[in-house]
Amino acid sequence: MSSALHWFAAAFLVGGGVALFRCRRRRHRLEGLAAMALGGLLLTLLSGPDRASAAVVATLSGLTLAGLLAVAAAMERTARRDAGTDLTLDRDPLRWP
Amino acid sequence: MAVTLAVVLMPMLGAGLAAVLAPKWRPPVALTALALTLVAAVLLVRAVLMDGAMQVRLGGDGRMIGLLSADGLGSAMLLLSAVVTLAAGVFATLQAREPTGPRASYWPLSLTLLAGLHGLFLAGDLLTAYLMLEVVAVAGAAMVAWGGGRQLLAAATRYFYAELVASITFLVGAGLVWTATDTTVIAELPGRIGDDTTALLGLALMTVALLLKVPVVPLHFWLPAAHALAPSAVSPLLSGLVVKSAFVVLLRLWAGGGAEVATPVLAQLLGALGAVAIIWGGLLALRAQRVKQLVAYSTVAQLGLLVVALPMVLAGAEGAWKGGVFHAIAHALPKAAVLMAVGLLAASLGGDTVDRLEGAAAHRPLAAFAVGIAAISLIGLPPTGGFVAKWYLVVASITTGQWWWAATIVLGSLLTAAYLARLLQRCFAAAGENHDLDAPSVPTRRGIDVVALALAASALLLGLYPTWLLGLLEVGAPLEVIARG
Amino acid sequence: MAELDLNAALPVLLLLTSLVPAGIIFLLAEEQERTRRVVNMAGALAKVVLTGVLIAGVLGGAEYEWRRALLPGIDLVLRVDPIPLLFVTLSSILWLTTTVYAIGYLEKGQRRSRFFGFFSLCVTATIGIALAGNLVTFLLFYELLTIATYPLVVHQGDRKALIGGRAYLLYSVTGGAVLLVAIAWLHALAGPVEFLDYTPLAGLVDDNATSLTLIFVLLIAGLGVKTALVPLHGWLPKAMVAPAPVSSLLHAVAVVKAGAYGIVRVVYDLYGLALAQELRLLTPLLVLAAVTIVYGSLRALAQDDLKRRLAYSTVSQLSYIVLGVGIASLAGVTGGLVHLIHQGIQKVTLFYCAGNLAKQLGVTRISQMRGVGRRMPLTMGAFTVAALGMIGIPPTAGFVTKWHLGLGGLQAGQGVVIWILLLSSVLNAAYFLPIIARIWFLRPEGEEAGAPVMERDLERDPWLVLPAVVTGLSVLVVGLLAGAPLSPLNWAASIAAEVVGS
Repeated sequence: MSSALHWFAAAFLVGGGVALFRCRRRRHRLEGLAAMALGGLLLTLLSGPDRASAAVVATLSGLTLAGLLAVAAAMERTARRDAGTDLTLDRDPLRWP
Repeated sequence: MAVTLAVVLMPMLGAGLAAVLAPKWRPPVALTALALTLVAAVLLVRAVLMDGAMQVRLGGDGRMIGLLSADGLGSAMLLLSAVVTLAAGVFATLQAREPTGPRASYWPLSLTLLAGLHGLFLAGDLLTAYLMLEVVAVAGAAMVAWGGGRQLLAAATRYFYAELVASITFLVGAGLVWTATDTTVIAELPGRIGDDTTALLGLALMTVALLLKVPVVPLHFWLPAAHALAPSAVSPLLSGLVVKSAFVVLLRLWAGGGAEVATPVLAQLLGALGAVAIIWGGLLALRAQRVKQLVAYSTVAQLGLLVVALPMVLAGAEGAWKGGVFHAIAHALPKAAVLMAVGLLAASLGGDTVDRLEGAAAHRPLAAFAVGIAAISLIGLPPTGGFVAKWYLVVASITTGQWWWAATIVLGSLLTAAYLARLLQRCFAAAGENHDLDAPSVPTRRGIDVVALALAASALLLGLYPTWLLGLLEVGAPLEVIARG
Repeated sequence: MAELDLNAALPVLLLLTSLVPAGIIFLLAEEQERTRRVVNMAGALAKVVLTGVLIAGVLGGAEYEWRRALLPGIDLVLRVDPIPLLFVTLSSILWLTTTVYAIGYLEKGQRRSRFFGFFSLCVTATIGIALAGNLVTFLLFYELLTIATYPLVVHQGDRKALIGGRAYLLYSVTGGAVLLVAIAWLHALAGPVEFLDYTPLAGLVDDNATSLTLIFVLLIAGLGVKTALVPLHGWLPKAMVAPAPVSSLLHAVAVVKAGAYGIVRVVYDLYGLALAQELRLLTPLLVLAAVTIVYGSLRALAQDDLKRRLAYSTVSQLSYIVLGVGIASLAGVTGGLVHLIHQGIQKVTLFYCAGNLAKQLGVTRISQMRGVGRRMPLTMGAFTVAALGMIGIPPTAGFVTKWHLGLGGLQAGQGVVIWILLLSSVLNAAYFLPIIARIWFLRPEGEEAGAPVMERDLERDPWLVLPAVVTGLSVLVVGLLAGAPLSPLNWAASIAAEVVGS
């Protein structure tokens, strides 16, 4: 596997991480996060020294990541139900007016 | 071997039970599980002290799935988290009949958090560490969110997203290191990273992820709101334990595989981030209006001190290793005490701003006293645990010739004294005109103050009897590795 | 074996005589006045008795030492050496009188349990400082002193008190931090060092003279904050917002004295006079002390508030001790050491009297002091004696100090000391004599000629008057009997002989 792919993955993660907090819509946030998670998993699956171990790890991590995404979706949903609009995450909530 | 598993399985079992039982039964069951976990932790510490570090391999027929490794660092942190979580549990129980009291979900979540923390402190390989980081992230964020309200949800969501991004980044980093070195066991990394680009990139990604999780300035954006807005029984867990868990992984990673690739410049850069955190966090704490906001910025600053230990550890100073870990422990106890105590003061004085604390010492002396004693340790004055940590770090900085860290540490102490004096000064002031102390807005039980005071007092005891802990930290410490590197 | 154990236990017992009362008093309810008095007085008396036992033991050749490992390689050490014993004696006696005074002064006051709890803790810290056998132990109690004194300074809880308390904390904590760096540096350089063991430092002088000098500068800077050396004195005049018993404790027994005592120990018992001379550390110290003496006196002249004038006077007077440290001759060392005692009893008397004036007559300014001598003759008599002592008029204690300092200066070939002493005595006279004249020779305001006001009950409370009179008398007695065998002077002289000889 080429190191160019690795550099791309790193840039994707960092860029995605920053973009996540700038997004105003929860759908975009969740989709972005899912993309990052999938990419990460794929890379892990490809990078294991032997296929069998990699598969075990990827399954375990995949399950956890799915669980985490579900929690994130639940939090976003609760927030929307409360006020009817999506959360904005680009400012410190302590400094909300 | 059995106790190593027990410290993780016991809280897991408790969490499972607490999740399915009727709310009425949750506190007693959860407290029992917490107490048993503490017993197991004490036994583990004893075993490590007597027999040295031990390892448990998970998985069968030659293929390892995970590695649990109980060394001095891990078992010490484990004991700390068992103590603080139990104290928070007792606190939550006593608080249960108040409007600000915990919800029924507190019990399974705090036990899950404890299981995750313990797994993390024992994690000997990167993938176990990754899984446990996830457990900690979910449990922590869910507990922040429980209070409800849009502001709190936003804080919890930001916190959770930060954790998630960091987790995925960590996973990818671990994967890259795995590809390049053919191992995920942290202790096997030294000698295998060399100048392999993929491995270095993996190490860098994991480092960034952990810096976001700790967090270290400039990645601390999510912390103040989450820690300041979380309920009184939750903040102690977050500020005392969760942030330290990522630091433990960071320390293991750098003292292990990182030591051979860390150039002096890189090490100094890491330390510089810590120094910026100490000063920036201190300045923000000086300006904070709300009490818990002040305490949260204080956490940002104190976490910087942990990172400042890294360049000295990498320079081979044994004292820096001890001082850094000692600080992680000695910060948790008084910080948890302060968070509990200010929660109580805010409830009974009817407001959570710094100015509202006026007259607190006369009104609720035990809680104010707890803040006072905790402050002594946080500033790092003798004879407290905070002093022992600071002493080792300052001496290490002088012996390694990196005197600028000593200056930073002392400056940090002075800033700490300044912002905590803001709190204490209000506490000792005569009751202000701005509120009527005869009519506390929320009725609270006074017995609960004792929990905070006991945690603060334990920081004092740690300063008077530090030898056993310092000895414990030597067990399995990667000091020879560093000295060679 | 039993004998040995007792000798280790005595220093700890000495601490416990105030630590235990502190703990009990914190737990007492506000209205348990009688119990609190009994506990306070019992602790203070026990301490004086124990000090007597210690003195008798030391005269008989016994050694008292208690140690316990704090960190690997670093012990907590409490040891009764000659200089510590001098300081312990002063503290325990003045604690007794100040306790009596504080009980009288705070009668019907607020938050007395908290006050007396921290008060006892403060003295515990002072005794710990006195007995500390190494720098780490010293630092531990030095910081404890800062912490225990803060609640006393802000006792009133009003804005002024809080501002004073903030200044006190700011200066003290900074000083403590500097001290920590110095001690850690010394530890990194020389390993564990204990007082009166000169070998570790002497071995370093060839290769690390610069480091030793820098460490010395840091040590003096850290200690200089509490000693109120110019320019580190800013907190002291602000902290005088504290109640009078606290000011007495702050200015005479505990805080500023702890700083000066620390300097004495660093020079005599850590570096040793010989090493300090070799590194040329004493002359800068002398200059610093001289500047502080003159500056403090000049500022004192300009104050109308009595306690503020006394505070600046402390800045000046305390530096006589440092001046003595800077003079490397037998008489100079004697003068500095004996002033540890003399400054204590004189200044404590002045603050008792100032407190009595404020409490009974509401007089806090010098301009209000016309004729108060006739209304409160005992108090003002004590005040006068102590003030004359400050100026250095024979046969008071202050005269003995100044005589020896001057003599020491001549012995050491530093004639400039004489000029400093003369100048400062003139200034002392300039700010004390007008007060004395006003007290005794001017008529009280508004009083008709020939109709003296007789208010006997102004001085009826023995708790307030007795301490002032006793310490005031002691200023005279110590001066008159300076030649007696057990006088502070002879004591200081015998210590000085060891210091200079070593």
